[in-house]
Amino acid sequence: MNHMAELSEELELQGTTFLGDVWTAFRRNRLAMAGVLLVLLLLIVAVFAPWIAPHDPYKVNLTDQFLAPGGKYWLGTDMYGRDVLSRIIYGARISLVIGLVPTLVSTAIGTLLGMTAGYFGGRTDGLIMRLADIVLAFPSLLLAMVVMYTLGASLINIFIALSIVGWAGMARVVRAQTLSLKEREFVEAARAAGVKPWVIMRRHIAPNCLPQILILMTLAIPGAIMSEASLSFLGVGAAPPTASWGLMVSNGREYLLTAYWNSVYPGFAILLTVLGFNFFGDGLRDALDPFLKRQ
Amino acid sequence: MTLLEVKDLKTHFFADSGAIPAVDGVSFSLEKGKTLGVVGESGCGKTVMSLSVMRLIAQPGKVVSGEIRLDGVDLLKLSNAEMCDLRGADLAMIFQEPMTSLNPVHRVGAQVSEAIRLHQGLTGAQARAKALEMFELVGIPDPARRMWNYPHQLSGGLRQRVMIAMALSCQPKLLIADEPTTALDVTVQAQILDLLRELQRKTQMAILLITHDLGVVAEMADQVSVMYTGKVVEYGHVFAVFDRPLHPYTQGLYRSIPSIADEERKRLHAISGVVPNLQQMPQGCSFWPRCEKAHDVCRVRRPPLVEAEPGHWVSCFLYGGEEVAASGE
Repeated sequence: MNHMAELSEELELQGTTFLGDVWTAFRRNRLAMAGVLLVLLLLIVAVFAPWIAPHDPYKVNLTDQFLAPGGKYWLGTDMYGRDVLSRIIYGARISLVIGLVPTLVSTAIGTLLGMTAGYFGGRTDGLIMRLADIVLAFPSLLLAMVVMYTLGASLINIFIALSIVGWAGMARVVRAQTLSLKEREFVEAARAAGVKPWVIMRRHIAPNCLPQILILMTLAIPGAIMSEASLSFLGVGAAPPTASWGLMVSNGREYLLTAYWNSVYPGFAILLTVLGFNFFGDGLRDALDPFLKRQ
Repeated sequence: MTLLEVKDLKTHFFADSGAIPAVDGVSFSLEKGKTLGVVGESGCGKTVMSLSVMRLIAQPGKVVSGEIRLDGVDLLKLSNAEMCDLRGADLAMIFQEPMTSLNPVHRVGAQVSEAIRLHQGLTGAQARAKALEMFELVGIPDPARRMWNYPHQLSGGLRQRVMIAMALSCQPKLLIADEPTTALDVTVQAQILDLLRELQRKTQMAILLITHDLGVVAEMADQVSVMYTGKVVEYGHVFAVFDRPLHPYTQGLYRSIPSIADEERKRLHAISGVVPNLQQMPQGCSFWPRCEKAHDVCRVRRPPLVEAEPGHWVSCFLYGGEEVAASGE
C-alpha cells in the first residue's frame, strides 16, 4: 500500500521517474528490444520446458538414431535416438541457471570486495586488487578449466569455477566507482553525521554503483553461458547425459558431416541466447548512459 | 561557559614533496549559544580546521598536535568508534554545496530519518515522525509531501534546509557550518541565516561558521577569527574586529569590500601579491611579502598572538610581542 502511495505521489510530483526515462530510452532501441524478446523467449522456454518439449529429452530410442529433421522429430535425433529439439528446450534451463547463478555470486563477491577496497584504501585495497590482478592475469577459460579438472565435472563445480573467474572484473569496476563516490559530499556528510563505514557502503555507495553493476551483469550472463558451453565442449563441463548445449555441440561434432543437426541447432541456440543478452546489455548501457554521464 | 576549546591545533598534509601545514597552530574557544565566525580567503585552512574538529581529515592529512576539547573531553584522544558516535549527535556539520550533500538515490525524508534512527535509537516510524517535525522546524513548506521527494526535485534553498534539519535532528551542542550559504542566492542566503539564528536561540547550540563573506560574519557572529595561511592573525569580538581591524591583512580585507557609498568610480582596493605556497612559506610572519607595514623583524620572526586590547588578539609586531618600536622607524 505504502509503495503504491509513493509511486502515485511521485508521478504527481514530477511526471517522469528515473526508471520511466530509462525505459523510454530503452524502448527506442530496436536491437535492445529484440534482445529483450530473445531473453524473454529463453525464460519462457526454460520455465515451461516440460510442457513445450514434444519428447522426453533423456529417453534413449535406439531404433530412431540419427533421424534427419522433419516428421516426428522436428530437429532430428542424436546418436542415442534422443529428440534434439526437446534436448535444446531442456538445455535452456541449464543455460539460464549457468548464466544467472555464477553471475549473481561473482557480482556479490566482486561488489563487496570492490567497495571494501575502494572505501578503505591502503593495504586492504592493495591486497584485494592484487588478488583480482592475479585472477585477471590468467586466461579465464584456462583458469576455469583448471578449477574444473581439480573439482571434477558437475553443475555445482561449474558455478564455483565461473564465480572464481568472474568476480575480479566486477571488483575493479565497483572499486573505481567507489573511489569517486567516496569523495562526494553526500558521503562526507554521512560521515559527519556519524554513519559507520559499512552502513555508508550499503546505503550510499552501493545504490550509486547500481547502473554499472547492472550493465556488467547483463554482459556477464552471456559470458558465463559461453564459458559453460566451452567447458562442456572441452569435456570438463556438464557431465553426460545432461542436456547442456555445449555438451550437445561437443557430442555432435564427430557426426558433423553426416548428421549436422546434432551440433548446429544447439550451437544456434547458444548464438541466439548470447546475442539476446548482449543486445539487452548494450541497450541498457545506452539507456543508462545519460544518467551515468550526469554523475 | 566554554563549550569548544581548540588549542594550538596543527593539521598537516604529507605530500611526496614534504609536509604541508594547512592548519598551523590555531587556537580559539567558543561558548555555548554563541557563534564564532572564521574568515579568510580560499586555501587559508578554514575548511581543514573545521574538518579537523570533526576528525574527518583523511589520508594523506593528519592532525599532528593540539587539543580539541568539547565539554572538556579531548576529541583527539577518543577512539574512532567513540568519535563516530559523537558525530551527528554532539557535533554536526552542514556543507557548502547543498546540491551534492544529499544522496541522489534516496528520498530526503529517508535520509533525515536515517540520521535520527542512528543516534536516538528510535524505530522507523518514530524516526519518520521526528523527521517530519524537523522539516517543519526548518520551515520546509508542505513537509509531509516533501519528505517523499528526491534531492533533485528540491531547490538549493530547500536542500540546505534539509541538510540543516538533518544536522539539527539530534540537538547537537556544536554546529559546524562550512560556507552554508555560498552556493545560494542572496535572498535565500538571508533566509537560511535567519533560520540558523532562530534555531540557535531555541536550542542554545554553538555555531562555528566558516565563510569568506564578511557580511555573513557581521550578521551572524559574536566572535571573529581571521585566518591566513593556516594561522589565526586576528581574533576578537565581532564589533571590535570590524570597527578597529588591527592586523594589516584584516585591514586590507575591509578595504577590498566595494562600497555603494562611493560616488566616483574608484578602482577597487586589492591586497597586492599572492598567498604564498604553504610549502615555501617565508620566514617570519607569513604575511610580510604582501604587507605595507612590514618591518625588518617581520622577515625573521613569527609574531605571537598578543592581546592588543581586552579580548582583541592580533598576531602582528605592530602591537607588541617584540620591541617593534625599537627596530622600526
